[in-house]
Amino acid sequence: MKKTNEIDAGDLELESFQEEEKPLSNKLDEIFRPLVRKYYSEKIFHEKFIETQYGPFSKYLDEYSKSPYFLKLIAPSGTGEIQNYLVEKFLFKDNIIKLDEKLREYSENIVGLPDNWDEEGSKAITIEAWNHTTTLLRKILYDLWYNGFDISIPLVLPNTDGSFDIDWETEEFQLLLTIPANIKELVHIYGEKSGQPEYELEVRINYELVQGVIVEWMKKIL
Amino acid sequence: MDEEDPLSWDIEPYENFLDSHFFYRAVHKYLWKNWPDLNTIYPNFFSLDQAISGLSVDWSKYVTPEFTLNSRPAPDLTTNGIVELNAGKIKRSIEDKSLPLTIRHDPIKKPPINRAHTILEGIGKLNKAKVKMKLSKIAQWAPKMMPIKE
Repeated sequence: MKKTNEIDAGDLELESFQEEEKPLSNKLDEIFRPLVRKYYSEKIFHEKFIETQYGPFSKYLDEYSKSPYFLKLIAPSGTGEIQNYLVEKFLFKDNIIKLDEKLREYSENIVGLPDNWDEEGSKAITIEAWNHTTTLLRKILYDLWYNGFDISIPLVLPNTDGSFDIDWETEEFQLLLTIPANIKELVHIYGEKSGQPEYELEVRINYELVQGVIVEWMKKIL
Repeated sequence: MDEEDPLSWDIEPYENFLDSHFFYRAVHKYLWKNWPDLNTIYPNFFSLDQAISGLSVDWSKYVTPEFTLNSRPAPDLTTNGIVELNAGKIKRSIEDKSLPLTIRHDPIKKPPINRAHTILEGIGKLNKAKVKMKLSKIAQWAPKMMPIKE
């Protein structure tokens, strides 16, 4: 097997790749899998990793991230931190920029409101509640995007009790998650697939379980 | 509002909510000011009112949307919009079991008096998200009560 610092452009002829013949698959497998495992096992997760330690790798990874085959290859190893890293740095950069813009827009003049902001007894909109909500949303979106689902960015809406709603309303489905200000409380979820009541989802679950439940539901209905 | 003694007001039965009636609810600007489309009614407009374990609304039998707006601490459309929920649509959703609610007339007899005050009950820990979403589909801005973005 080649060492990573011996990679050159000639080894990585993406243009000539044909999935049926898989001429590139073995090369990619040789190159990427050991790296992924190394990142994961050694928990080396910072930007300098690719930029310095494996300089040439960055260029090719960027290029391969446009290939559907890349996703198939990397997916089995790409869970958790590495998945998020790849999504943010290479795979869905445009989506991430759009998501960041939207979240900035939604939070503007909302996050940080004190108790009684509506003069009717409402609860404060805290940065902690916002962070819990957006962290969960990012996990869900990254997971779905990574797995090939072209899911739109939902609205994130405050409630008078200090919780936030994550609200998807599309032609195909509607899904509402109410994330409590205190994440020790349960998350309320209601979802419907248009015209197919058998896919109704109505649960209250722990914050930690929400990503898995939502991603599985989305995979069923989309 | 009529001038009669509030203490004489009866709690009216469910049958008195006619299909043509509406329920009005104020929605504060922080619940809509950052969203892209003001024509859309969002689920967070129907957050549970903590104090009464239900959703507080005003019944059109006794008041107009203007009354609901004017009863807010900041009675102007740059701070509050007023949504209306058609009673007939709510009743049909209750009857077909898609909306697990009851409607209870609850006139407030002490100042600030409000004969129109009504509570949509049954919003609990199990169904909060579902009720909010369903109500957002039924509601619309009351005439001339769409809020104004500054």
